Amino acid sequence: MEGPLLLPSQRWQSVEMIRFSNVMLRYGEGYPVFRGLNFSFQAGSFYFLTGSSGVGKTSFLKLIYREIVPTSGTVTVFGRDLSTLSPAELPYFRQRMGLVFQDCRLIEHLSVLDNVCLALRITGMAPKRARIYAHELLDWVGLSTHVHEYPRALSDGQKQRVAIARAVITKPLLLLADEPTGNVDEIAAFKLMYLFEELNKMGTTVLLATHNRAIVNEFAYPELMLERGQLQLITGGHLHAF
Amino acid sequence: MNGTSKPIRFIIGCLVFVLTLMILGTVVFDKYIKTSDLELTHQIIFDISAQGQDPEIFEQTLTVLQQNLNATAGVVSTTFSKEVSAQKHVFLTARLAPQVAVSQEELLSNLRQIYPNIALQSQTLTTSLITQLHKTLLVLSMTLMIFVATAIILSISLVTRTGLSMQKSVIDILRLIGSPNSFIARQFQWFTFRMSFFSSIMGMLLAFGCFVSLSLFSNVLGISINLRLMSQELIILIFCLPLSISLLALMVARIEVIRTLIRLDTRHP
Repeated sequence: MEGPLLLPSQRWQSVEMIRFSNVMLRYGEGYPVFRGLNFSFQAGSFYFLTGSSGVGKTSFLKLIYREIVPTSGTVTVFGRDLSTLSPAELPYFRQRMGLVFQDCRLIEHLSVLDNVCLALRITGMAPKRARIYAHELLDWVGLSTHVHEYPRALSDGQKQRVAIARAVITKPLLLLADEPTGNVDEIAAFKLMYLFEELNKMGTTVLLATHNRAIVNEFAYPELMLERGQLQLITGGHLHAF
Repeated sequence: MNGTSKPIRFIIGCLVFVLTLMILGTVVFDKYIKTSDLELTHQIIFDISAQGQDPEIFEQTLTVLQQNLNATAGVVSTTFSKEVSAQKHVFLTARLAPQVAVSQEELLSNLRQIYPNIALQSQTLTTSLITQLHKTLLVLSMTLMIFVATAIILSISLVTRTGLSMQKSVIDILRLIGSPNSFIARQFQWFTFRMSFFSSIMGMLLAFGCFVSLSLFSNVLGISINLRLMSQELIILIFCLPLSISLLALMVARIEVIRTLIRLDTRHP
């Protein structure tokens, strides 16, 4: 599927997609969520982000799409230190990545087609052209017969596919998914995973937070495990510390 | 967009209705005064009845009356009408100095001491009333315009803020997927523009309808309202009113949205 490419400035292009340098995150005066986190994430890779509930997977992702900032340390995405990002630049930074949430976060009063088109319309694309791309993508995720329905008429699995379509229609360099299979059954979860695999094969870097061990075990991708504020890499069943 | 937009539409429609009526009334009234060739405020016409009077004595009485008027402070000149009317009335016109306030009743009272059968010409009375009314209408129109503009700004600010708070979850989603503030503002501003435009059109059409109805029934009421006194420029101006109000509403909505979103940006890390 041909689609639009966003027009970043040269400073966005980097083989190293994400870098955490000595990142510490603490909410208020409480115990730190992360301490001295150091790792880098290459373009084109696929990682699971795992850990028990409440360990900080969502916070980890929030640092990457800059909904929060670290207490100390630096987070670099697309070669740019996120602490230097101005409020005016933030929307254009986020347009370069796709976000998928457990609760889908679709806009209820827009149809499936309009929800997917939205990601293109905010980049300035004409509505008519955006609809053409959206139709193609919804066909790819298997929802071509539901384009004019509203989110309330869809199942959780279908909603998540719409959310994925919206997240990837702009051909983002990076896809962050926070528990995308959390609200769906096992069969739907595996279907969604195949979509993520397809996207990764097309060049999108994927970081998928999940606590679904069945999925992690089935798909042999490296696993970033968060535990006690530290990150550990598990590949092929072997643990590597950062 | 939200529950407050319906009452705001009603308010805007009412404001435009009243404003349009006021503008139409003021301009038609203004034209009426000009085409009626009334010399406003600077002359008084006295109606002197010659009924049952000896012509020679009457002539002398007229001369005395004129001399008395000429001697009055504030009276610049006096003239008699060229012809005596069929009902044997003579009209004595006193032209007044513009800056001097002259009491018509006082003048009349002084002249009646010389000759009782003298009265203010009815048109003079009407003229002075019309003058006062004309000035009052102009001031009221200006005041109303300022009031309407202020009311619209406050109403649109209110409906935009309410809309923003009600649509917070949608705005959060838009910001997460990379929507710039300008895109979000555009959605609000065009909604506000459409709402204001159609409300203004309804208010204006209703006002025109009332005005046309009034003019149709004006003869029955004994008042002449001539819509042909309205110039083309005025009609264009009136029809530009909804557009002007809508553009004002659009600007207010955009400023309010951008301001709120920037405040959210500065609160967010």
